[in-house]
Amino acid sequence: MDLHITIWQISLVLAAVSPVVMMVLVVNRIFYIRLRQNRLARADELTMKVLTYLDDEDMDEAWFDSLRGRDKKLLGSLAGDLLRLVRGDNRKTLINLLRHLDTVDRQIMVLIKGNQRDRITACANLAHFDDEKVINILTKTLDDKDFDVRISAARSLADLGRIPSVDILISKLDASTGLRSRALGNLFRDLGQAAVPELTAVAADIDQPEQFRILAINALGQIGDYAAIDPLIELANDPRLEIRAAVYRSLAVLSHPVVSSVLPAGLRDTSWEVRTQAAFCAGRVGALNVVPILIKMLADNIWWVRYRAGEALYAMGDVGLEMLQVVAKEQTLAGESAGMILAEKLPAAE
Amino acid sequence: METLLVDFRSEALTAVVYISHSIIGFALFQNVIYLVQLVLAYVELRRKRPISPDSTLWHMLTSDITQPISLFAPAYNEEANIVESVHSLLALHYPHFEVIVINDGSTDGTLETLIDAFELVPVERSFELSVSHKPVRQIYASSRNRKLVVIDKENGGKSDALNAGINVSRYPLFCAMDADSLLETDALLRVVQPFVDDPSVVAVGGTVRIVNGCTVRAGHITKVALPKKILPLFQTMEYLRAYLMARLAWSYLDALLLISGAFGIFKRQTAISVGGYSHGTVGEDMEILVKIHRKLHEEGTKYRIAFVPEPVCWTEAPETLGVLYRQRTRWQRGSLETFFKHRKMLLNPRYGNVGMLGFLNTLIVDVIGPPIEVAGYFMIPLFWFLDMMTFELLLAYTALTFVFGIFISVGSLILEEMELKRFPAPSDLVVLTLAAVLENFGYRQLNNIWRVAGYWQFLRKVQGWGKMTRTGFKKKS
Repeated sequence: MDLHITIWQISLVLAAVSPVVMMVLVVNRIFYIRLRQNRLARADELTMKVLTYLDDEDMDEAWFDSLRGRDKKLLGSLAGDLLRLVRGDNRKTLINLLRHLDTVDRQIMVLIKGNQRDRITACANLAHFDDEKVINILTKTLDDKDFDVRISAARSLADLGRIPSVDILISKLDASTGLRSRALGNLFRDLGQAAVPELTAVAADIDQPEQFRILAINALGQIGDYAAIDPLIELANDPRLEIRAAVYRSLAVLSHPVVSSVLPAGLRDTSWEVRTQAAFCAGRVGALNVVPILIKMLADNIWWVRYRAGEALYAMGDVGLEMLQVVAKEQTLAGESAGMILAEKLPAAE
Repeated sequence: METLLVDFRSEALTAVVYISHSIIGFALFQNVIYLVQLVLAYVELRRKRPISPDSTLWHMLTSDITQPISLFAPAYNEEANIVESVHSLLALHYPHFEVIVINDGSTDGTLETLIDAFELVPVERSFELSVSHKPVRQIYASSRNRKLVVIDKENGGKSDALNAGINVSRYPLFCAMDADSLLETDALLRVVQPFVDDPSVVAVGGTVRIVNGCTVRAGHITKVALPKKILPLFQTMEYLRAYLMARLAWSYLDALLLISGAFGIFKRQTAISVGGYSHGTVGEDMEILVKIHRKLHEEGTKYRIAFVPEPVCWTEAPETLGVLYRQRTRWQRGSLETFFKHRKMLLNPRYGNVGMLGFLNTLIVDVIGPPIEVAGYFMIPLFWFLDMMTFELLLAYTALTFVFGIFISVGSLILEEMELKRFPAPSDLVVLTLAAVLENFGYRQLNNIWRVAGYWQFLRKVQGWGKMTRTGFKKKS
């Protein structure tokens, strides 16, 4: 057949078929809207019933027992939203009701068989039910092929306080992008004080990917355990600048006075990123021992270093403020930086 | 003499066959590119479901997982809409953000309106001149809302205003947008996800939709509806094709060359490293992205530019032919300026898919496509009328120029309906299907003619944006 005629015929067929497909989707949409409206209306009814149940002692679980299976399933999918509405005893009562309605099993089924979006929601819903069945399925989900589902399962385990160790997290979430996700950093933080030794080991392990070590260092700061200070101080000499900068960032979060001893090295670092973080840390700690260095840094050739040094001096109270006012009188770069900080901070403080 | 005439006719026929086959071959190639884009967009949408679950958004809102963002709203003579726009921006759902309105030397009462509405007071905010822009006259902060900062500067155009925003901002990410763009309340949460997942992401674009016809109250869209007028309706289809099909496909191939100026998030440090937005170009949104690609490829840095298919931003479409003409010729000039400025990247393996695919696509679709297609509108019917080409060739040309486009347009709509369902009423879908058919008979051709006009302006080095008349959101309430 002539190629030109073929082009014409194929184009014609595709142009004719596509609107037909679209019309099928339009019909589908009509049903979808009806179903959705019914579902939303039923969800509102059920939510009201649940809230009434929580307030009304005369209403018992029997009313919910008489619900049809799809209503129970709907309640299960609403679990996360409902539980966000209530606190205290009401929350416990609601969890018991949802358990009674087999919400756990239903959500586990969604987690196994649903689409990605529903599975992520199921993970979040299951985070409210602390029992072995849930822990097992969530732990198993850490092996899921979908990273978003894996990280949701890990997050739910964290919410339940049943997050696995750093090693397990590494092995389960080890994907090309997974190890770099900021979400993983939050999970490390959620491991809490018990994980400090493990995180310290990861942070110090030069064979680990750099971004991964940074997440561990950040988590060590956010956990807030002073046991992390000494290992972090040791890492302040790491050859990699991103690691050193992360160390000072975390030391700033910990804000312990003992950090003052390591600050001079950070403030004189060859990397401006490290100097900036060290200056920020000095301000947070209130390290008066580094005031002379900070004054010199007001003439640094990098704007961010000058700015953070000025901020640090300002944060040190009267001593820093006086120094800034003295330097501001100079017709130098340092004077300009000091003037800039005073002009910005003083009116804001009034 | 007769022999000469016969020879001439024979040579003319050969030339006609050559020209007509070239035009048809080119049209076929273009349509194959569109078809591949449609397939890739489908694959990408299936690979990663486009709608973030509420639980994910809730987690992002309540945890410190997200990085702070500075939103830049460059404003030039936006007195009518600016207060409503700023209110809408300040009401966004996001843990840490600031809104920086850059008054780019407005000659109306934009600044005074802002001062009154938000009780602005002059403040000192030190900043480094990392990227160049016209002098800042004063920086203001709001006594009522600490998230709001207003920069009053001398007029220098949108790119100049954005550069001022880059300098004054201190957050690691910034969102470049138009002052009259309307964002979904959870837009930032949705679009920032790639930055959370992958630290190598340097920029993210989101889908922009047409606001004409929608009901807007207090800076928020309360009802999504289709435009009543035919021109914005056709543009609704165009945007659907451009975002849900083309950009998604190019992002899948790591060759995305454009993040709309109406909405895009960038790493501040990356934008500074390429010198910020370039001056003297009308396609600053495409140019900065190409500069980023170019620099990071030349440095050998691993990076990613992502695209989020969820609709996050709504913008007003031109409703008259005159305004639309000015917009399209400007877009064409912007595209050509960027292409020729960075032509070294074309088919250069050093720039990976950006050079080998992205730039090749620009060459075909933006550089040589419009003149060839427009030439075809006149030549092919003429050749057939003069009996110099076969009816089969005419059919093939008609198929590729008018008919195949229906499939591509409706295909994009099918993707939208399958994965997003953002047009609320079934009747909207019927109207859009009709628009997807009709736009191929006249509107698309008109656009190509305008693009050739843009080409001509580019060759004549015409500068400036031309007058853009906006209806304003207030009238839509």
